[in-house]
Amino acid sequence: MLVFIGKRLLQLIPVLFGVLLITFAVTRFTPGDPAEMAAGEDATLAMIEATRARLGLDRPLPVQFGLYVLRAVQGDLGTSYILGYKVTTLIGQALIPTGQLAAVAMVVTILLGVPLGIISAVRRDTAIDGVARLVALIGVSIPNFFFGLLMILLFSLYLGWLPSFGTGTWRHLILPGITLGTFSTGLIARLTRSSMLDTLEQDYIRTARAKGLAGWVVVYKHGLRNAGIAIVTVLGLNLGNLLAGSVLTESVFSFPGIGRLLVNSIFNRDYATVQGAILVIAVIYVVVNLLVDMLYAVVDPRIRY
Amino acid sequence: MLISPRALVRLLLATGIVLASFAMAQSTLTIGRATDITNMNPFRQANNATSEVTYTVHEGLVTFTPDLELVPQLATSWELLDDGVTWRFFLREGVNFHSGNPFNAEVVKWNFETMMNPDDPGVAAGLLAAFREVEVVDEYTIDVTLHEPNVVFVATLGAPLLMMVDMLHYEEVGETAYSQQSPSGTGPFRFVSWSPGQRVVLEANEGYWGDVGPEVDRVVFEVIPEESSRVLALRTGEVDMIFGVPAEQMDALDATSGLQVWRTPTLRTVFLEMVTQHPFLTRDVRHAIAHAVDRDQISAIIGDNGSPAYSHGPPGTLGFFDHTFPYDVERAAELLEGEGWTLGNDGFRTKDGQRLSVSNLARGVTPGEIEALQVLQLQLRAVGVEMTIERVDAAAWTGTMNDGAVAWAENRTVPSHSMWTSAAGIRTGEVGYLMNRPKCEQTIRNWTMIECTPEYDEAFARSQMPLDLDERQTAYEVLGQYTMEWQARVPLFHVQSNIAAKDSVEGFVVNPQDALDLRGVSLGN
Repeated sequence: MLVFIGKRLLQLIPVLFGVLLITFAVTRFTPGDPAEMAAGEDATLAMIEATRARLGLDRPLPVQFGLYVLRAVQGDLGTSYILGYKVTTLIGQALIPTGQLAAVAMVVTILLGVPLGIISAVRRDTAIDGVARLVALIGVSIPNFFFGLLMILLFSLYLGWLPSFGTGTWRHLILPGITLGTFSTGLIARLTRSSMLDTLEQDYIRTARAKGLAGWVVVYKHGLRNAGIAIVTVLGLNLGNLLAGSVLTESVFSFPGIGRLLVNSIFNRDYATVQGAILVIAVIYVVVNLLVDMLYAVVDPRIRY
Repeated sequence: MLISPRALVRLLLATGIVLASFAMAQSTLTIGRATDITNMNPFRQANNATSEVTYTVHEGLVTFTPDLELVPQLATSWELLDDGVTWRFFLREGVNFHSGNPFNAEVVKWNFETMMNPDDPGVAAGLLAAFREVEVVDEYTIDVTLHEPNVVFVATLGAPLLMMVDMLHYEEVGETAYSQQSPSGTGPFRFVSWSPGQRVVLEANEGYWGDVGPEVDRVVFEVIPEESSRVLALRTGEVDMIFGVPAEQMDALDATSGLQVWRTPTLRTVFLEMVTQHPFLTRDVRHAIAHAVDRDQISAIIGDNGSPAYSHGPPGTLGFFDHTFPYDVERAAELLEGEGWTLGNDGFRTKDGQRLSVSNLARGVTPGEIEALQVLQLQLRAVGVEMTIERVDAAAWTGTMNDGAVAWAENRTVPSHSMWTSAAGIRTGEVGYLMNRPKCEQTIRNWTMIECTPEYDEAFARSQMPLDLDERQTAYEVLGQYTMEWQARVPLFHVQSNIAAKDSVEGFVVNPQDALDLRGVSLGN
């Protein structure tokens, strides 16, 4: 196991270098000039050049890239061109709310999605299955943006129970968390249903039933455990997506997460922040995938590393 | 039942405490806006969302009233010396920055020099190009000398651009700290905190020098990027006031009891602009396009987003000159025929096998812009011109125009882009602010690529001189005639500012110049 983890962590190095190189290249070849954006609308050519020099963008590209990598290795991701803050500070500030939101969405997904899928599979082709499948379908189909506004209308405006925007307390997390979790809830419910149906048709389930085990033991111990691999994989990928930020949900609820930070930085051609944010998101994806792989061994003892 | 003396005392005490706590309750004005500030440093700030906040913390030497009258702020009066190029400012005495440092001539000198530092110019340097040097006369008098006679210079200082920064404090804490967590100005509100992407908090400056000052204890600028969420936040009562109300929501908010709205025409105008060096866009084709624009129809469609525009500013601004052509589809067709563009069966015009097709680069940042362009698209189609709307973000938009202008200036490269949509506001109360282009020495900003016209430059210089108003107006008319002949910049509509608030917000007046003024704004009941 330790060797496996060590190997996977070593693989991080080329992956992250690749991410850095691609991000650097893409930002540089995108139309638009950060010096023009930072210098303002009324800037003269001389002012733009002065800004370019101040931001270090007047140097040859290989030098810029080399310096960036050297500093990144030491944990310095540079300074935002527009906001003047350290990129690490900005990302740190954005990751906290994003992490909280992802946690709520994940809890919603697991607590709603998995049971919904199980009920649906066990009560296949009944009215309960029909309702559960409809709920799951709505979950994967409804745009976050629209659902978020509906939630605000209902819970903030008409009922007055929860705040409509911002951060600060646990109450601020509920509406955006549920909104962000709807898609994955629907997805996991559908996935759980189909893998449970597959599993429940296996011979060993028939055997288990035949030897007189209680219905719920069959479903949970034999059924869910074996359907689990697929669910854990998708949940893991989904956690990566949630942590990478959801710009739509963050915008509707004015949530200062990493999705909005990244999109705003792209619009401002704030290369330093764009590079830093993508690097951090890449690290999150890689680490989450590693954790998922480790979880396989827990879910399915047959898997060893 | 008799009340014992002791109980009476308790009751009175309790009442007193309740009353006192009512009196001490903090009044907080919460404003929901789409965009966050970029920093708190007036030397670096560059957009309206930022200057709304920095201009509440800092102040300029002069300022504009909502009626566009130039009035004293940190300067009490000013005069032009006999040499015709030196402006003498008499400064307000006894004013302190939020840090406690005094405001004086030394500070003003440092502010000018920092903004105009050639090695690291501030954001307003391009607009104060006439500036040459600044000299302290005595503690409260200062002379600013220009390269050439210019009367608009003082008006430029009235825009939220050259704000007086606390010199000693800036040097003590350094640029970064000043920009992010420690600005110090003379304004009615002092800085408390900024959480990027979330909010800026200001508090009343109790020692404010002016007669009309802060009337609330705190001001909070909340960032609510989504316009629908912003409206909902006002309706739930979480914010007191919202800026940038979507036009289609104005009537509904107006009709809601407990809410009020402000519809204010601003000095910001949306233009259709054309690259005069583009092979299709010859003078007559530009004239034809100008004739094909029906402003009333555009205005009817965009509703509360704006009103028809005929010049660089609305009527009443100094230098107003209607440079538009009347809506005349037949005249447009005639001009296009004259240029050899013949109408095909598909309704579009062609010449030498090429369709008369142009692409309009639009950022879509101004509300109503895209709707207006869609109407324009149909209007141009009616005369056989195909206009596609190409949405790009602001950075790509600026880059395309700057690169094209430089390439044409340097090697006469024929541009590949043809049209774009711009939005620009006047900040001096007169149209010269936007007619500063195209001047001969400009390269990067000559986006319309009009050939160097010395007569235009000369008229422009005259329009900015300290002459009497009639003479300046005459010079502006010359500029207007050229603009009309060129038709490179076709005004479409003046942007309307849409603001909504609870009825409890009192004393708020919108400044059409995009300058937020919270002096005297209070929260009644």
